[in-house]
Amino acid sequence: MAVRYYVSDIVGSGTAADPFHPALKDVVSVNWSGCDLRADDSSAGGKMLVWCDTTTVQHTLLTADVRITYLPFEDLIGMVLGIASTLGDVSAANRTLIASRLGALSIPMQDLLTTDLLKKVIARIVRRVRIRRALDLEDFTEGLDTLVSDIPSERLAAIAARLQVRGYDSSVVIGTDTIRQALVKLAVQDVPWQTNEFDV
Amino acid sequence: MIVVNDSFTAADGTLLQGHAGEEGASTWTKHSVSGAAHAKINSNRVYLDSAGGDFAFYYPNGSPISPEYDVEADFVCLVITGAAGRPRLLARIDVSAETWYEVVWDGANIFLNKDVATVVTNVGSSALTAVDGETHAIMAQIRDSAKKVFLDTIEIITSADNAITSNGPGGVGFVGAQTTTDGIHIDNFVVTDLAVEEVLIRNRKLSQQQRMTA
Repeated sequence: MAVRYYVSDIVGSGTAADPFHPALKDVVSVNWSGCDLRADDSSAGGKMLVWCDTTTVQHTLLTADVRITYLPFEDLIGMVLGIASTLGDVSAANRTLIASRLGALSIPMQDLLTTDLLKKVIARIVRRVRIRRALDLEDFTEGLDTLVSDIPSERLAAIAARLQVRGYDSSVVIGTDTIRQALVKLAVQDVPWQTNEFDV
Repeated sequence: MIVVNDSFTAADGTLLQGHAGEEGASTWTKHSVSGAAHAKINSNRVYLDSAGGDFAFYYPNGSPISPEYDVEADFVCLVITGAAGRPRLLARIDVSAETWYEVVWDGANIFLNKDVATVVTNVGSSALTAVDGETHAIMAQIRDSAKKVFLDTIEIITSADNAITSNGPGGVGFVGAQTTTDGIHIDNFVVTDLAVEEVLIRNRKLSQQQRMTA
């Protein structure tokens, strides 16, 4: 068994009898922990980052499930790495997969170094979620490579206002930044409620 | 610093909202979203007397000075014949809406949920089967950086969720039928705030950052 990290669709109806929960629960019914990646707690759908100690059989079932995306923190021989390992310990192919899978969720990680701990990747995901929650409906929906200057000025003003209310310094973001760069500039700021369990 | 401590010492049949605890719980308030059922004290433990309904939530008047605190209680398994009453610890309670973090034990599993305006999301779980006569200490450690659940001092759930940030009180709740002899009852409820010094340091950092971003 090894603790693996997955991004799972959220299913359920949000009622007390049928709470929103990760689809992963169909395979791993208990003994998992998660972080909701949605901006809005009331919306159906969305994703949750989930970590759990899975057997090989469970892992095989999870990777075959289209509702679940595996983050392969594995080395060259397929050994699952703990979050105290570095990104450099992850095989290059898996690093590319992780970056691509997180990029699809608007979570940039290309600035992270091979010397950074995997814990920092998880921290980046959690910090991105907190930016998403700060922005709510104004969250970036454009691709990560879109220039900030391509976003309409009214919307940029609304984004800046929302960020400032939550204590972010939005002035560090400039028009020639891509959204990827802007998100990194915001994610590295130590806003009080931005700190999380995985910060290093 | 302990801000609430209640061992539920009172005559059998006393309503929870008619009872004063040892510290920080001179009054308990039944949350407005509760049903008709009342929590009562029996054998110096609190349970849900489900006559007239089967859900109720309560919070004491003692409230932590910051949103970062621990809330804990002993969960006492009597004879488990049904849903066990699904007792729960509540944290960061919005006293005017059904919004809080909750640690629920349904007799088979422990769940960490966030309930935001009646929309419930399960953000962690751990297996624990109720056994007649056993008592377990469950604690919710509520921090901005993480929400952790401890079972008999062992960490069993960690979530990075921080959707509910307000400084609401801790409390208890029940959903499901119980009797004086059936279900999982709650005892020794304690809320422990972060040390005052830690809160002052945190607030100082916050004001410094606000000045920097102003």
